[in-house]
Amino acid sequence: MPPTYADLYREHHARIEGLCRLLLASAADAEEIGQEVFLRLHRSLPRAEAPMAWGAWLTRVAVNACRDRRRARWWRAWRDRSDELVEAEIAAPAPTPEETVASREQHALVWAAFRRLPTRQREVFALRQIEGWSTEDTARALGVSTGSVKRHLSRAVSKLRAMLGGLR
Amino acid sequence: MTRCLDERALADVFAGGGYTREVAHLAACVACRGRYRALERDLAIVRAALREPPPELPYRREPQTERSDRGEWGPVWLCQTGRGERSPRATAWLGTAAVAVAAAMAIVVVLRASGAPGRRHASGAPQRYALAAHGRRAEMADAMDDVSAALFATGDGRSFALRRDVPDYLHATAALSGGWPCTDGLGLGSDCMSD
Repeated sequence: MPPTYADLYREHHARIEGLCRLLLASAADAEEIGQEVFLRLHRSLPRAEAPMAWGAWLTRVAVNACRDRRRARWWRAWRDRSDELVEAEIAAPAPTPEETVASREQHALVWAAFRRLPTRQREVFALRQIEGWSTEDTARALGVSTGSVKRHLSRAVSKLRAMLGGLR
Repeated sequence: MTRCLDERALADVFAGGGYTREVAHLAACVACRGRYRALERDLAIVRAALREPPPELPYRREPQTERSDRGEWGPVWLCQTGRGERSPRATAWLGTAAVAVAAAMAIVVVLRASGAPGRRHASGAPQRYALAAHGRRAEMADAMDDVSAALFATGDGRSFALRRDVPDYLHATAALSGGWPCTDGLGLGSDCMSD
């Protein structure tokens, strides 16, 4: 029996929105793109003739939608220029116990470093490391070669480690 | 392969793209294995952090005008939390644009002011322009009077021998003496020069 829209929404919505948050710099945008993705699912579901891997389909649509959104936002450069300021605000320690502060700062640092990665490296890292996709599936979803996926992942890992020097 | 792997080679192996000799070295070298495990630990932390929602910005309060429940208009403090909210620098270009517009308007005003006479004349105010021109001519005549008087006030004019047979002798003489010829009865009044 094919899955219903409600089943797929329950199963994948949180994951897709999380992926969009990784690929976009904005929680609000991620929510919006998440809605767009499921709207497309709603339109496509009745037309599907053969059984489909809807999880992978949703991920591909989400990655493409995030890419379109980034391209469409001409003022992105301005927002990226404000990274330093915003991150400084995030990193400001709140009057909480030491451990909480350290953990919160680490969390903010990781996100800030991840956002500094080039788009393609972010996509590859998100699919390979967060979504747990294989190199081949990632390559297929992004329309690149497996070698390219490996290179992007390697560079992303190197850059993240360089930026986050003292995580431990 | 005897040399230990550098960070880049470790990342390549992690990504599945390392050379066979690098993978073999990693399997054999205790030090490199330790560094590889450290890399995996770092990435586990990164994955864990990225699986959580992104950090929210601290409360940034902005006054907004809104009608309250009691029907009064007044400031309401809103909270911006998402990173996608406009940051100060995201709208900084608005300030630049405002300065550019102001500068352009100032230039237009200056240009209009400097090129005014011709435009005003052509745009339907000829009378005013004619009056202004007449005023300028009168000013010029006054200035010439002053110049004439100053030039010949030292008596230099008197030393200039003027022949009587020159046309308009009276006017020429008067000019040389720094005055005007008498006009009553063709310049032959009692206080007029008689010679």
